[in-house]
Amino acid sequence: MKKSFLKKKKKKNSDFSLQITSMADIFMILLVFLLKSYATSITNIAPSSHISLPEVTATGVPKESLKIEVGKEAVTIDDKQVLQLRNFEFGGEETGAGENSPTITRILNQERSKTPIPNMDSALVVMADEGTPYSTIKRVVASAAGAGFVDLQLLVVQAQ
Amino acid sequence: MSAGSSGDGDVELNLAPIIDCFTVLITYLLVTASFLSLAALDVGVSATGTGAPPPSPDNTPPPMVMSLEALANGDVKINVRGGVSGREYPYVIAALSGQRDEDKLLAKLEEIKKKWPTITEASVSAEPTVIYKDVVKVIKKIQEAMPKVMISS
Repeated sequence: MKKSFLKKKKKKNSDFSLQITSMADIFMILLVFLLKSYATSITNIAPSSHISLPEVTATGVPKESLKIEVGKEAVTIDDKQVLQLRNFEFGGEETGAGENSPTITRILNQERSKTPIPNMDSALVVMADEGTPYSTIKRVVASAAGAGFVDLQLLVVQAQ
Repeated sequence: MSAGSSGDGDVELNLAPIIDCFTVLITYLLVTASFLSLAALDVGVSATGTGAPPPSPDNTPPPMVMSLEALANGDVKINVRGGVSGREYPYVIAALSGQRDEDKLLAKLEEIKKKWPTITEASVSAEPTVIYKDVVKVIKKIQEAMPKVMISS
């Protein structure tokens, strides 16, 4: 009697297995959701972690084009730092030549010549920190206009 | 016969490797996904800024143009000029407890649009100390009334 009781208990333990069918269902739903949101989001346009974009209830979709980023310490064009800033302010050598920043205009002209059809793409994505003073933005915009980039896309975070 | 039917009943899909693949894929997607929803405000660049509109070659009166300036104290100055007389129509949207009165700004822009339907674009500038966040908010408000917004360089 005793022997058979032990045998029965052992058998019950060996039959235990994790029900992974429902887990597979959950994973499938999660995967579909993530793949769908991944496909619709523009992954190449992502601001650096050190800048915070302004929050506005805008609906325009950003288009893939050349990117300029204005932060507290630097200006970057297509993820390459081109200019050092001091608390959003340009250095003395950049403010001497009128409204433009010669360095930004030169680099943007170089980038422009790399495009397959030169002088055709005038779009530029501007990612600036929300605390940037207008004097800095104005110089960046003037430099971009000097290089022929006159269709600006001001990147913002969509407010809910 | 009986052995065959028993074998068919025991067949089940091995889900463990599928779960492994899903785990790797989901982890990758979660790490690379950006949960910030970004949007863009389309603006042009105006070289003229707040200056006089360019003279037309065929002696027709210059078009009415509108420029806005965001001031550091929260006010917004609107200037409409041009036409036959070349007269200027200045307006000031006073700040409401230190903040820009966006509703009043929108209402004024609608009023201007009704008065001068030929105005379809606005040129925006700001005082040097006004921060980008405020400029963007003003641009967004103007875009609700005017299809085209230019930023003064």
